[in-house]
Amino acid sequence: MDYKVVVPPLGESVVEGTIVKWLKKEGEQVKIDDPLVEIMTDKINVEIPSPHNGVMKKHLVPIDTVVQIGAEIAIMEIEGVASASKAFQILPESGVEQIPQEQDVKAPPEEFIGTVAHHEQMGIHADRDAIEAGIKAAKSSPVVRRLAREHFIDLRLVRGTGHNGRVSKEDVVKYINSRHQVDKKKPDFVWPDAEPEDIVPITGIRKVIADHMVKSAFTIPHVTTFDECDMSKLIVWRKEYVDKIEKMHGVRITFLPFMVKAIIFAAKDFPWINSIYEKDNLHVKKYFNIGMAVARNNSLIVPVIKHCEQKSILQIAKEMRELADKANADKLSMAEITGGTFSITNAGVMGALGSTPIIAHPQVAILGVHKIVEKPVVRDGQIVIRPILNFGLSFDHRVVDGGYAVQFLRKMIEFMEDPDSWLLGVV
Amino acid sequence: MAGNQANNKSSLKQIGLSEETIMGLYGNLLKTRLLDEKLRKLFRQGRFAGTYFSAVGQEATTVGPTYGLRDEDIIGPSHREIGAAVTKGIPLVEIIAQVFARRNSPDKGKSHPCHYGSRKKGIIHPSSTLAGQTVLATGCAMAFKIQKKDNVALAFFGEGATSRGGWHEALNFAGIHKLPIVYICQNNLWAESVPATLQAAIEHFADRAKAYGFPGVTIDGNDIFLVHKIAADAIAKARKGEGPTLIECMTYRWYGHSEIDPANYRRQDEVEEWRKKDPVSRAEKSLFDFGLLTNEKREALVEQIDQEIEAAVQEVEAVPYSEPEEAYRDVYSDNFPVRRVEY
Amino acid sequence: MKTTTYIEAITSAMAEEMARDESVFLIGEDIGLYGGVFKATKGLQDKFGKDRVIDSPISEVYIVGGSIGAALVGMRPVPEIQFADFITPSMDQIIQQAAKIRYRTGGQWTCPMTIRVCCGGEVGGGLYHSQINEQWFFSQPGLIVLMPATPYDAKGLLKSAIRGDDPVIFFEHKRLYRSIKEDLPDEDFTVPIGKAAIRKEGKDITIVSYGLMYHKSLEAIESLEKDGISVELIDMRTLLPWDRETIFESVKKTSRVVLVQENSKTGGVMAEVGAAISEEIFDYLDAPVTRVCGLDVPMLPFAPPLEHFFLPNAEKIVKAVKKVIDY
Repeated sequence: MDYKVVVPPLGESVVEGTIVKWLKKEGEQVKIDDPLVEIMTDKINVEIPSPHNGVMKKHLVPIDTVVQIGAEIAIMEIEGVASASKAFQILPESGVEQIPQEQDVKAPPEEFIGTVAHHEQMGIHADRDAIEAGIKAAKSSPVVRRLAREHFIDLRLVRGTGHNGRVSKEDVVKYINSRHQVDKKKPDFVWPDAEPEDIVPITGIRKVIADHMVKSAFTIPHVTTFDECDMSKLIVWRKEYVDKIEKMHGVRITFLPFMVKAIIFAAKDFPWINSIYEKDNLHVKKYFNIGMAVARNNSLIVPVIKHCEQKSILQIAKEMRELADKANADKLSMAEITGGTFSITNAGVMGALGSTPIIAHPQVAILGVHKIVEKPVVRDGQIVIRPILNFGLSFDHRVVDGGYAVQFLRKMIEFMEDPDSWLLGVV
Repeated sequence: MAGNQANNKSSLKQIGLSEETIMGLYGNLLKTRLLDEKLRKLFRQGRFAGTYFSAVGQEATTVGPTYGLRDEDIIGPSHREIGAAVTKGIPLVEIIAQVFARRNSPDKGKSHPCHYGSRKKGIIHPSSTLAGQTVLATGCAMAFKIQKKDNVALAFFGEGATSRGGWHEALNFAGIHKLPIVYICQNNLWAESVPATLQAAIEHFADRAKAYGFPGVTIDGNDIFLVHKIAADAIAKARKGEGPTLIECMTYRWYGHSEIDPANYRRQDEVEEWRKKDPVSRAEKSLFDFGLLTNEKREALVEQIDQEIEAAVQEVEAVPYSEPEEAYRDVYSDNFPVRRVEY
Repeated sequence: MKTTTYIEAITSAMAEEMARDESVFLIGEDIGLYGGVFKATKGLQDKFGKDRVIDSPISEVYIVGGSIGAALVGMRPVPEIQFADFITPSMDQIIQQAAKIRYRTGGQWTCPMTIRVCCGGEVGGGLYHSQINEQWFFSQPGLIVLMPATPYDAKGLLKSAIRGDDPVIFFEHKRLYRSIKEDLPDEDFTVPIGKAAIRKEGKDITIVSYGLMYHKSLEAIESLEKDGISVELIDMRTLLPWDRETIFESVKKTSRVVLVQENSKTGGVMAEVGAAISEEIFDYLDAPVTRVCGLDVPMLPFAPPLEHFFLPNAEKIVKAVKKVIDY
């Protein structure tokens, strides 16, 4: 193989040398350690010995040429593999095992709480321009600027008590405290164009809900697809049986249990709809634990009906009633509100015609149920009035594609529109 | 002058060394020479970075005193003591890895070529501040005395290093406390480019010992057998608690201070004259005369050592440099990890 | 419990460590027969013999270099440099050997040595008996640099240093030798290297200091508190490697800091502490990082008014703190 002769490092400060004499002619045999060339530097004349046996193939530079350290000056034909000089190497070889070191770096501080990032994660946004303008305008220190950014303070609104009206840390802390106390006492100042308002502290269960919503909304890229369901047949069916069933079983059946079943049937072809997305894994569930959002006083809870695939419509209806009662009595256990694989939320009871529900993280989809309204629709070329339910399906676009979700919803609606095909088998 | 007499009259018979010692000395001398010459070539081939300090010409001054030491005896060397490293038994791979600054080097590539050392073999890896290790070796000897051990320390330095204050402080203390140490001065006439005559107004650096109350001798440093004998006697004396000795070995380095020093401050006839006093060929001549060596035996020995060296070079060249993180290590004991920087 | 002066704490630390470990020995000028010019080694030669309490010639290179050599072969030397002013001859050994031997030998050779250095001013010692040169060593990784301010720390840190496996420069402030006393426990104790002490908690401002300046800061705090200023006082104790965490946490809390150091201002320990605060916790500062230090002149001058002028004191610290508070 070819071996390229390079100018070796010739001393700590030497950067170049001059070729004085070739000691091996082109074509001449070379033995290991035979001198190849004489190079002169301003410190010393050196003969460069050959690291290999072989033949001097070609001189790349004539004598009297000035060559840089590391320059290629000749090619030799050698036996075997050329020795690799590492004298010029300043980076470790790739593939060299990097021994991980305990880094003397602290984890991000607790102070994340209350920071801009934290606020934004909670969905609170600020007028950044005003804050930055405030920082520019006011005489302030690093800590004051940090606090202004973290707590969304326009420093022009803070009275500086320091030297020459400088805003001190203390001034800002006072200001923040006063802001928190606005509902208890008169504020020191009024926001420009401020409207009268009530400040309601978001605490307790409301805070928990808020945090859940934020987590879901800011983790999951939501998409909601809508599709209309003709409820004619189910309405007829229900009308016929609802009273009888209530008499026999003590439960007044709604359309929700039917929807649960339709979801289960449709999910046979679209199993990813019923899954949990956690830590880069999608856990596609083979069972159906369906969460049902229940509104309470100023709050919301989602009890979960377990293993709906093993239960009849009647059983589901019964359980739904029981859970709703428990929810209203605040008696739900932890087990009854966790472990869901899919959720349904019914804004229709309040009269909503459409909504884009927020997914119960880490599930990947939620079905929004809306008010059934009579609508003109075209059937066989004729405009007819039909009871229409507008479903909204929100899905996690990270793992579920639009087409997949749309087709799932259509499939589910087909089951809803044609209950005869399956109802007898499962009631 | 004791030195000059010894110079002319040394002979194996008079010295009275065993055949094993004679052959051991010669083997280490030859190995040192071959390794040194090989390393010079490897440097010129660009196989390692930095520079190289050849000890060719003065090997007898390091091999001779070192031969026969125990592992627990400590050597405080400078940068031209490759002979001590070889003779005290630091494996070739470790010596070459030091020169190549690879991951398997004792210092993992932190110090410099030629800073050979080994805790196990009792050689302190040197710093470049000359006579620094003379002070350390004296401290080792002080410890041996406190510990009531019969170990000895050996300090190697050139005549130039005897101009340093610390050198005098160390010898002064060793004299006061009769420490078990032998000081080996390699007088190669040149301290880099400054002649010995500009280092001291005295002719023999051994005379410095007088000021510290212990004997100093000047000897032919290119007669390996003589050097060994004189050093071994001094070592035995030190071991018995009878105090230090300063041995000035007259010798010469054939090449520059380092490989990038043309050494053109020296006259060519001076170099030629000293080349004739080559310690290796002189040892061989004695061995031929006494029938302990033949040309064939020598060639076989050379070939065997060359092969060992070649194998060690190949082994070392296959080893990568330490990863950059290594720079953070060995600053403190484990109690105090070094802070990693961001930039 | 026993009421103990700073110097007695040091003497007892050495005596106890020598009794505990045969490899501990002392070497220095005037330390044996005479018991040390400040009597730090009083009685130790009688107790442990001439081999372990060695009266050295006036040879600072050897005192330190010989100690390093002994440390390499299993001893735990405690050399004394009589005055910090005289440490310069041994710099070569400290910097090139002690600080680097672990590094340059891949950890094969180590140097468990504690150099006791008597330092500091306000004793009328003049140019060559008042120096305090911790910053030279502070900028040399591989060394541990300690400066206790109390008898408890003097004893506990000295013991930690002697028992540790790293080379330590142990600065003893001579002004404190006999001027402060503290009740020390009878049982064995150590103080960890690398940990600063929060001597007093406060909320308005942090003062960081060490050695004699810790006591000057205490004095200043008395007056500051009368003015309603709440000061957090940190005694660094270990200068290298210094306790970033404790100092940073305190400054994060108070947002204001005054750094007090006896030595000249430029290039001192507090220059690094201040720079690190600015670099790493800038966003917590409410006022400029401020230093109170000795003058940038060759060294503390002799005549009393000049010496007083050179040194930081309570008055200067109060002034600096107030300026920072009012910023």
